[in-house]
Order: sequence, then C-alpha cells, then structure tokens
Amino acid sequence: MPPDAAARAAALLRLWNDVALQHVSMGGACACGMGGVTLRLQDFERDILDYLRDEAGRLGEAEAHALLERHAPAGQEGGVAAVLAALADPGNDAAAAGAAWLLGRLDRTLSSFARLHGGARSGALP
Amino acid sequence: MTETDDRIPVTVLTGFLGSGKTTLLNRLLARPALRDTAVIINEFGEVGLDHHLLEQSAEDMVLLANGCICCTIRGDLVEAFDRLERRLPGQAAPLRRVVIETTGLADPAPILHTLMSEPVVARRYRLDHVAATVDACNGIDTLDRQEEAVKQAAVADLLVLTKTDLASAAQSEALLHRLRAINPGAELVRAGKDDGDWLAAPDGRPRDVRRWLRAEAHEAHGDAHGHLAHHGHGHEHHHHHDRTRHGDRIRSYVVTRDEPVSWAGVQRWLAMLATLRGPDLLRVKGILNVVEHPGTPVVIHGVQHVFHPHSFLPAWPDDDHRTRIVFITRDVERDLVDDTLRIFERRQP
Repeated sequence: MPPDAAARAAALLRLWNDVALQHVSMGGACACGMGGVTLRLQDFERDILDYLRDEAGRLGEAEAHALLERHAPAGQEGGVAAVLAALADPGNDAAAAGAAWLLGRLDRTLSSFARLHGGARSGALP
Repeated sequence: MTETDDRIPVTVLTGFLGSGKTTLLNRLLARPALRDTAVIINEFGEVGLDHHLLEQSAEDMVLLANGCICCTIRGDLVEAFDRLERRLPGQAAPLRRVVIETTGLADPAPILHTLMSEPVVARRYRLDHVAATVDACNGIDTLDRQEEAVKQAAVADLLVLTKTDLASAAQSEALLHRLRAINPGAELVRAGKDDGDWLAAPDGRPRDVRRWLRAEAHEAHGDAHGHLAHHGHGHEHHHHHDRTRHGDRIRSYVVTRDEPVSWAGVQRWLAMLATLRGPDLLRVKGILNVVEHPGTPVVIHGVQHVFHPHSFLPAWPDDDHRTRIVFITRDVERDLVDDTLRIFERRQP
C-alpha cells in the first residue's frame, strides 16, 4: 500500500475501534416503544459492508469488490476492522485504485456514523 | 390524493410569552366555524371562552418508568383528554376539533409526544398541526434570547405573525426572513388579516399530504441553518455557514431519492437516527416511495425519537413520486443524514 493510503486506513481503523463498541442506550419501558434500546455502531457493520459491496458491484469497482470479498466475505460476521487493517499494512499488495475507492467510501461512511454517534465528533481525517 | 383519518384533529397552539396566543385564540373561537371546538389550556385567563368545552392542564410532567428523559409524557394533558371524553356525552354537538394552548415557555415536544404515543389519546385524536404565534415587534429579540422560542418556530407547521400593525415594515421583513431561515416549510400567515382559515378546517376533511409536507419549500431553501443579517447598507446577505450571531442551531432540509428505497432499510435507519440523535430531531416528516409497496406511498412523521405509526396512501398525490423526507434538526447536518441513508436504502427486505 502507498504510505499515505496506509496512514489513512490506520486513522480510519482507530476511528472504528474508538466508536464501534460504544453503547448508546435509551431508557427502558417507555411508551414510545423505543425503550430499552441499546445500540452500538458495530450493530451496523453488516449494513456498511453490504452497502460497500453493492456500491462496488453497481459501479464496476472490481478491485474494491475483490478486496471486500477477501477480507470481509459476505455472510460472515465483522469485517470492517479486517479490511482497514489490511489496507493499513504498508506491505499489502492491494490494487491502489481499488484501495483508494474503498478508503474514500469508508472514510465518508465511518465519519458520518461517528459524527452522528458522538454529536460534534468530527471525522477521522483533517 | 389525500389521506383520510376519522380521528378528531388537534391543533397545538404555541408561541412565546406575550406573543398573542390567547388573543388570537379568543378571536378565532368567536367564529361560527369553530363552535364545536374544545380547548385545553394551561391556565384559565381573562378571555371569554365560556361557550366552548374547556379543560385545564398544569404542566405536570410524568417521567415514565425507567426514566427515558425524551419520553416525558404530559400526564396533565392525558387527564385533560380523559375529562373531555367524560363530558362529551352531555354535549349537544359532536366535537370537531381540539386546540391545546401551551404556556409561552413550553417545549412543544412533550405535548406532541403525548398526542403521538399515548395510546388512549392517539386512538381518538390526531395531531393536525402545530401553530406558533410570533410577535412581529419583539419576535427577533425573543428568537435571539430564547432557545425555546426558536424551537417553537422550528417545529411549527404554521407561523402566525401577530401585532403586525404595531411593527414597522423593516421589523416585519426581518422577522419573516429569520423565520424562513429557521423553518422554510412552515406556512406563514398574519393574525387578523389571514385569521381562521387554517384552523377552521372542518372535521373529516381529508388531509392534503403535499401541504403538510411542503418539501418544495425546503428544497428551494437548501440546507437552511443560517439567518439573514443586516449589514447597514440597505440589503441583506444569506449567511448559511454563520450560526454564531443568533445562536440558532436549527437546520432544515429535505432528503430526496429518485429511485424507490428499501422500506426495511429506511425503518432500520430511522431507528438508528432516533436512537443516536433523537433529542436533536425536532421534526421529521416524509413521503416515501418504497420497493416493498410499489404505487403505495408511505407517510412518516416523527418528533424527536418518537415516530407516529407510519401510514400508507392509496396513491401518489401528484406526479412527483420521489421519496422526500423533511428534517428540522438541531445541529444534525444534512450530509450525515444523507450519507447514512445511503447505507440502508438498498437493504434487502
């Protein structure tokens, strides 16, 4: 991986690790029906990966799609951390264009989730 | 095309202290078209409402079990509706409308939560609209100083300008621009001049979803979270990125999708938004074109983290079949909403 892409992936991995497991809880037994909900961003990991696979397939980003299949196979739990860890490895021989596409989508997606989750929290990258 | 609903419509009349709510209400209720209106008010004032059903509420808040702070149901309001129900059999004419007049300092959200999520109330009554009175003379100052006043204006479907006869043209114009920046989708009327039509909708009249949504106003306005500021040289500039001068943290925008979206995905997305940022979602309303129900638009409506049960329209109201969701938020930017919807909108059922 080019150093700048690896650094970007490492920053995103830190962001994911920082927010993915934090719980957001709402009160229990409320009349609104939302009571007792406890939520983590990790609960949406599957949604994020399905979206990335769908986007990569729809837009013909074969390299990115292959990266996802390799590190976050469909139907398996988890995967965001594995993808980012692979891209953060300077020795990874992933195709640069595919990695760049994937990092761009992940940056926007994870930053948006993190900002929603943390209120004023900003994204991973300046 | 319209949505039908047999429940009794409820108007929530809000507005800051001294903005003319009671005066307006008194004048409106003198109209014959509103003779079968019940009024729930916080305090009995000096107005002559003797010929109407009156109930009083007293601002007591009931924090429901296990303490979700967003779920403060207005227990007094539930009791007022209950008393109203018990008095109805003795009335000669059927009840056609309820108006709830809030105190000037009230946050309207708990009242809306009560209407939307308290089963006994929601079964028989429906929120028709939220009207907020704004004093044309002092409105700008009030909005500058009182966050509750900004919130009242932000959640309203209808903004009623009062005391316009006492305000200068410049004052009225500045206030109009400010209100447009806070809530571009709200209908703006002038008390006295435009009195009555908005409240006098007869019971049973079908609801016009397009008028309720007014998505085009938000589309035209863009991501409005600024204000219009005077610069002392005869004209005004939009400051869409300057939120500091007046401290308005309110943003309003519409999120649109040209292609049908996954209803299963949207429901999961809304639940996520409501959980993560419920207190900051002042109003969410929309009409959705969903993959699972082609030709049957879905109507959604939420206040903070509480959403009405969604409803289906029998057909589209016009040729615009896009999904349009209007957001009025406090510090939740459009890109966050838009980006996260993308994750869910193609979700498989």
